[in-house]
Amino acid sequence: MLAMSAEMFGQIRMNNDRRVLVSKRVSMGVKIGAADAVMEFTNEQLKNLTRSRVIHPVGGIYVELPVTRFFSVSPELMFMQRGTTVSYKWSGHTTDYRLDSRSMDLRVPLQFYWVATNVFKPYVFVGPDLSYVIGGKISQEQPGGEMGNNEIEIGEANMNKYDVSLLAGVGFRFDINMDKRYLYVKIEAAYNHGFLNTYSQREMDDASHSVNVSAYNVTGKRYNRSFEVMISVGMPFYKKGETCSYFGKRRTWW
Amino acid sequence: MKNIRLFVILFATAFILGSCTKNDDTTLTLLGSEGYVVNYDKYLHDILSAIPSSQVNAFKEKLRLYEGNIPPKVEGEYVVAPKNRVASNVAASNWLLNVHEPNVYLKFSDQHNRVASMIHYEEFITEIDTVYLRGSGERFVAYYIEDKEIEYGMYKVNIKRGVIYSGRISDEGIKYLQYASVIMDVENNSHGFIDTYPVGSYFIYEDGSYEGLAERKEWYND
Repeated sequence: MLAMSAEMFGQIRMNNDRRVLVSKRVSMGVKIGAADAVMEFTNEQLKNLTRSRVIHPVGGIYVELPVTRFFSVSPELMFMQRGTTVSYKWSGHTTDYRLDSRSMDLRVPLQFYWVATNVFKPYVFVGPDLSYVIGGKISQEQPGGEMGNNEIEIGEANMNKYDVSLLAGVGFRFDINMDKRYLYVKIEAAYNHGFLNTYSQREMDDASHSVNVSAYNVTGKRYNRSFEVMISVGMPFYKKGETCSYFGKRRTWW
Repeated sequence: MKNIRLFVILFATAFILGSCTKNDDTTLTLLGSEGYVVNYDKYLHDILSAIPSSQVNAFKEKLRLYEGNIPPKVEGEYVVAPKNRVASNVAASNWLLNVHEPNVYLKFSDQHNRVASMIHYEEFITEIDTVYLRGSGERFVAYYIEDKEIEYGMYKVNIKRGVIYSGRISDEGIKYLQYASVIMDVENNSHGFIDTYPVGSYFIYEDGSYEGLAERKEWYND
């Protein structure tokens, strides 16, 4: 498998010194993938409702700042989508509720590499995820029911704009030897665990007007949960033959 | 340094975009199988507590106090005509029954989360910021407590009273509309002007038309 990877992605460089240099280059790239999201409720009634996961496309950019050969800090700015779907019966009518939120996330995963070969580098990562909601929609369909069909935009009245979560996962980096540059291809899988209640303060204060019912009382909390699969493509900040960039010793790019 | 700047610029852009999202006051509530419970019934309990315990059951038999946590939308303007006296616990000589009183005009607005604003126009206009609601389906009960000043010539008496409305919302208006006034407290009654209506007195009215219908009718001009 590793040999195949090497053939696919480039020539394995056997020079140990050069391998160290390759590992310590600051790199930058783009990342795309899918987030399989759901929301967790603490309210006893809501937690027992049938929830489905919602798969959304996500993406962003990252910078990987190697500290040592085995450890990198990799801040990334991501466009994320989260939410949940819930299906339940209300007054005898099937009701489908769906929340899709969009956010910009600043994440700072710490990556711990195991340098298996010069091309193939598995790693684990963990780090904080600071999320700022920029929009989205909440919809509900109840064909034939008194609540009918509704759709509203996400704003301060119906969602906490901020969230803090923990991101943790595993990944594989392939260093591909291109003609003039190296190309880093990373494949990651991660779990994202939100810590802040996503209900808006106005909902908890019963100050928001509900468009589907004439009375509600938010009890309990609602948290983001998601699984993510990402693929990223990046490049180190130098061409072959130029001086290597370091994070820590020689702050060429800082 | 350029990279940090780029990140800062991108994040600032995202923050600005986020600030531009729609910012109205609506939400879409995810309900459980039974809805939520809001403990507003305390105020209704306070009103009923003012009635002598031996007479509470008689009061409840005459005024329909529907239950439920999700009342219907009651927003709208209504006219109670004719307004009939139907029951009371004061002596009949002091409050004759089966009397038609002048029409009553009601307006419910800004309803959300079992509360609404209300305007009650009878002899003069009374604006109530918070009317509490309960009920389910088309049936509702609305109630509030108010302090009221009653003039008797050059004297004034202050009372606290609870007011309860009950009915069923329909396209035509509020069917089987009833409403009750309960005296909860009396002050400055040294001249004894309302001795005949002590604390705990209640007065129940209803719309005297077919099916007790308080018709929808726009009557309020800002």
